[in-house]
Amino acid sequence: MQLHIQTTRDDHRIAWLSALAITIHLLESVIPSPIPGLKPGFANIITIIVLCRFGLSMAVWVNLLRVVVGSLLLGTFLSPTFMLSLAGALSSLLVLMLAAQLKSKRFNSLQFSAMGYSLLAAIAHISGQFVIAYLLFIPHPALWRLFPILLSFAVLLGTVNGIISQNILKRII
Amino acid sequence: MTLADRLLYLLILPILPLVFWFFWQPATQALQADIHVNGQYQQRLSLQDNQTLRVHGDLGDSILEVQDGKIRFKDSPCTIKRCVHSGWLKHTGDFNACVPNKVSIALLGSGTQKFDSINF
Repeated sequence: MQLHIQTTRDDHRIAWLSALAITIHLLESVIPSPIPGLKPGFANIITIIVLCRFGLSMAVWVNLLRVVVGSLLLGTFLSPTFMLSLAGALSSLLVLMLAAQLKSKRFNSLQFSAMGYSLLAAIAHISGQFVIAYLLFIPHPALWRLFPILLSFAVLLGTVNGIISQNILKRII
Repeated sequence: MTLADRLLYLLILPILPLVFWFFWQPATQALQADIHVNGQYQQRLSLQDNQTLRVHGDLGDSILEVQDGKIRFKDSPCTIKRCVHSGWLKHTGDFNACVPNKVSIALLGSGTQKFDSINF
């Protein structure tokens, strides 16, 4: 008996976009980091673009698939690295979910663009990671001294990623 | 950039210095100290109770002094006296040891900590 799975157009989109995000995730893991925990997070550009183009549920799929498959390929599945990565992804998705609610309202200028989404996601990402790192791995108050530095980088890189996302969105429409 | 984006930046940028101010604080004051001899746990001291105590190690008695939330090696039977010269300890996570005498002091904040960090 042959098993046949019906796939939709969206399934294919999710698969392709996840593959793209995973590739960026893997390439990024090669870049050396001056501070532990500092990563450009270019893979999240895909999440932002998917959110703006195809909506929230697809962004959730792409982001979570990236975290799980990326960790399987890097060999960090279920390790602290993975937990932190997942914590970051979940908290940024949660914030993006809340931010996307603004979309349905009447006033056009009061909804976020890729810039705002990217900044919010970056901040939520690093904050979620710090909470999990503190609760699970480094229960030492000194950990929080790193927070202002990494938060500043999150704002900077969130802005950079937002600009990149915006430019890509402009070109693919 | 939409209006919402701008408002977001207006909100975030002033918060950044506040976060620096809030988290970039000096280390927290320790409340307790754990004494180990030869890797074995001996006792837990409160840093609020001023006292001088003798801890028996491999070479003899190390003399520890607790005063106003601080603790130090006052004397130790070792030759170099590095433990004595390192002076007072008062911050959570501080650590001092007289290696020849195998006596160590580890300072703790509130609550118990089983580990510093986990890594794989």
